[in-house]
Amino acid sequence: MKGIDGAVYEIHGMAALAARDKWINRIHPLVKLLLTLGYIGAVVSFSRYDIIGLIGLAVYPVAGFLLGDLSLKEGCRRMRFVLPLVCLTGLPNLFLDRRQVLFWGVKVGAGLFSMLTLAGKGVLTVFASYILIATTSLDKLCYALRLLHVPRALVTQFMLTYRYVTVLLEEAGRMVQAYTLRAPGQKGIRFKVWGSLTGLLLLRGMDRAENVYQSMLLRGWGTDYGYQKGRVPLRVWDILYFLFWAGIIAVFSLCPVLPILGDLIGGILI
Amino acid sequence: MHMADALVSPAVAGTMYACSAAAAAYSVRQVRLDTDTKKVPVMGVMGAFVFAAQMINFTIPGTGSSGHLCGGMLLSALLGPCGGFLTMIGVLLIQCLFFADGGLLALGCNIWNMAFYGCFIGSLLIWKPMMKKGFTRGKIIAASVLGCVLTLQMGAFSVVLETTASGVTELPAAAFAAVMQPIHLAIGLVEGLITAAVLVFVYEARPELLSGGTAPERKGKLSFRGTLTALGAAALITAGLLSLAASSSPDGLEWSMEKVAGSAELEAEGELWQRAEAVQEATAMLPDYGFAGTQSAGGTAVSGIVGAAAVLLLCVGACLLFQFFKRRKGT
Amino acid sequence: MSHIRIDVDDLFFGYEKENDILKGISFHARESESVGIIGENGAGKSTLLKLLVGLYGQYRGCIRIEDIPVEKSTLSVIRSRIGYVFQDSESQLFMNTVYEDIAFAPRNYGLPEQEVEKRVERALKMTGAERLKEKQIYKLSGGEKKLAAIATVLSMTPDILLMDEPSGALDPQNRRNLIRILNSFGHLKVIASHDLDMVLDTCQRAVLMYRGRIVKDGPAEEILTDRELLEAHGLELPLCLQGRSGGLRKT
Repeated sequence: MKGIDGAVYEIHGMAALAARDKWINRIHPLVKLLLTLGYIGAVVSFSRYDIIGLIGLAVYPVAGFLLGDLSLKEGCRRMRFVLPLVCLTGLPNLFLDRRQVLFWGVKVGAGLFSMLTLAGKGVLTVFASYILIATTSLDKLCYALRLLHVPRALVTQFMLTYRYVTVLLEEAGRMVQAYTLRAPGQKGIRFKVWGSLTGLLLLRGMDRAENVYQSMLLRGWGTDYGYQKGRVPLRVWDILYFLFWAGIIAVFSLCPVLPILGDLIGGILI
Repeated sequence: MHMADALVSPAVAGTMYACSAAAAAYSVRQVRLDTDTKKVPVMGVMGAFVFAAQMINFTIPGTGSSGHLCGGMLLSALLGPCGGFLTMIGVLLIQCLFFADGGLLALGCNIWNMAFYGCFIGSLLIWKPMMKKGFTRGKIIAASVLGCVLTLQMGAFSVVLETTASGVTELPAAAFAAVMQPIHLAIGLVEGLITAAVLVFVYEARPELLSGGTAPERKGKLSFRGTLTALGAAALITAGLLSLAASSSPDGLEWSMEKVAGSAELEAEGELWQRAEAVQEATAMLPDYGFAGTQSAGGTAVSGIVGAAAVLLLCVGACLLFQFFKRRKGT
Repeated sequence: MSHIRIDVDDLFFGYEKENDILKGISFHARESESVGIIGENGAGKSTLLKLLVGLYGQYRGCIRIEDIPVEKSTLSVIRSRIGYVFQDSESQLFMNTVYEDIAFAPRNYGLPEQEVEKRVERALKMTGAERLKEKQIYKLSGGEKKLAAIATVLSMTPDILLMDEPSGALDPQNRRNLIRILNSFGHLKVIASHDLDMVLDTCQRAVLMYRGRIVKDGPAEEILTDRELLEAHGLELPLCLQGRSGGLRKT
């Protein structure tokens, strides 16, 4: 089944990207996590018609893609869930927002602006998350979550989910494959088998959980111990990186930098 | 039903993050994750199971389309409301990080819309009361379908409220809801049936795995007071969102519109709009930034675009230079 | 006379009442012995091993590890001295990278990070798996997973090594490598397996189990060459002793 294989492939691909030894991959995970959240917050704070202001904020993903050596195509592929939804939500604006504005002497519906801005926000926010996860391994991200005082048990639970997602996906994939081999021409799972196919997968999952639990117990799980602190030390570079981008994001979202700059350039050229 | 970042405003996102975090903190305490060490691996692996099971396509009889499993209801039937809720958080986080299905900022909303209703409401309002006197096939099927339909309706309605409160769409909440609710009614029915099929299978194969029945309940059981608190919190938040949505005035064009289009000629002018503009002008964070000679139509727009191009070029150049020097230093 | 490490007396155990899986097992093992527990599927081999590390509670009889009885209060001491390698490496390797997984136990026992690192390096060296150190678990092949799983228990420097069906699904080369590692482990090891060739290559002593009871306990060479005994209890001669023509072949 393509969907399941695709998902496994995608998770592995992301992990491989994050495991590369790029400069941006080595930035402290907490710095990247906070910047990403701050950036997304700044993007969605933009007024709903301010598409040009939004362009300024594109510097962060552009730099991220270049520094992280990420594929733009991959980044765009990740829009497949978000963009349709965002566009569908923005589409009514096109018809309901009847006011018109003069834009270079042409009358344009204001709804168009708000729809484009919304789509732009969708693109930028997805890119920002992509840069985060493609340059930060999950171990490090979990470490950042611990620094934010997310309970250790919860972080461990999340790491286990991540670890076993691919295992169970592959198991589900094999079951569906075995089903399709014996049920040619069917697109999905027939009604009669709904419960048993998924139920068996669930029971196997439970058995696996039991095994995992036992092997954790045997290796001292549940004994009190401190979480390994300082696994990723905070360097001067990390702080500089944080301040640099925090400054840029603040400037672009608080001041109309682009028109000022455009005027300056215009003034010089003319 | 996963909300994207672009659809929420920071205020809404923050509120929902706070609500979800409160529910999570409560759950962590309830299931005693720190002492009941077995919960962690079971929840971890069950999260992976739900993720995998949601990728399986189930053919809906009589139609060509396919349905999927409803995670929240299934998990709460197996792990209880709190355990199910925490497990769903893990699933949603992975969907968001690795598949961009739902946004990072909107995660709080998504946890609330899908995990909270699915696990807490589904379990406390439907699963537990119905299973109090023991499991039967019929009751499991009824509870699954009812639970999925109800919790999906609540989730869908929350999406409407959150989107409207965020002020990203012109679509009135009523119209939005009129689209969302029926769609999710159908989805809920199908998801409920799939969930029922799985739970009935578990009931027949390993009934001890189901929670909340006559079998002695493990930890994670909610007290009556806890139930009331949770329901009260849910009601308060819903009410808060409703009022937020109601007060998001028909604000008309925002002040920045004028900047985009230069000296914008607004056809839909009216007293209301002018008053709104005055308010916005007064409360706007930024002073107006008109420059001499740029007040012609589209003036600011042009300079804006020129500026944007310059900044992006500069950014690309700087990055390439940075990498060039990094690489030279590295070799 | 060397020190007795494992001491099991008259052990009964069942998941359900009236349906015992182990019916009166008595078994002792000393320091630096290597014991192969053999028997057909469902003979109770894995259950016995899991009882030794206290994974199942309600047993009847007596189990003592290094003179400490196996009960709830002694589990953490006992488990720090026994390394248990699961049949399914997939459930033993639950962290994301090999390093993190091998470091899991030493960290849980509160060792400082430098010591943890030393332990990991040593475990990797003993298994010859240094190149896997930073690899993600999902990228490992079946053989590599087994190596990593063994390394995860060696990092605790156990006095006793228990292995459940270690050679399942390994290719010949990985299997040979595994035998080399097992033979280089100097302390007591107990290997439950129906791969009799493997047992013959690694163990001096064999314990034959059949339907929850110990049928025979003695030198591996003797038990594993007794065709009648093995066939009566659902096993066959090791492949290396079968030969294609049916005649005996010296190893």
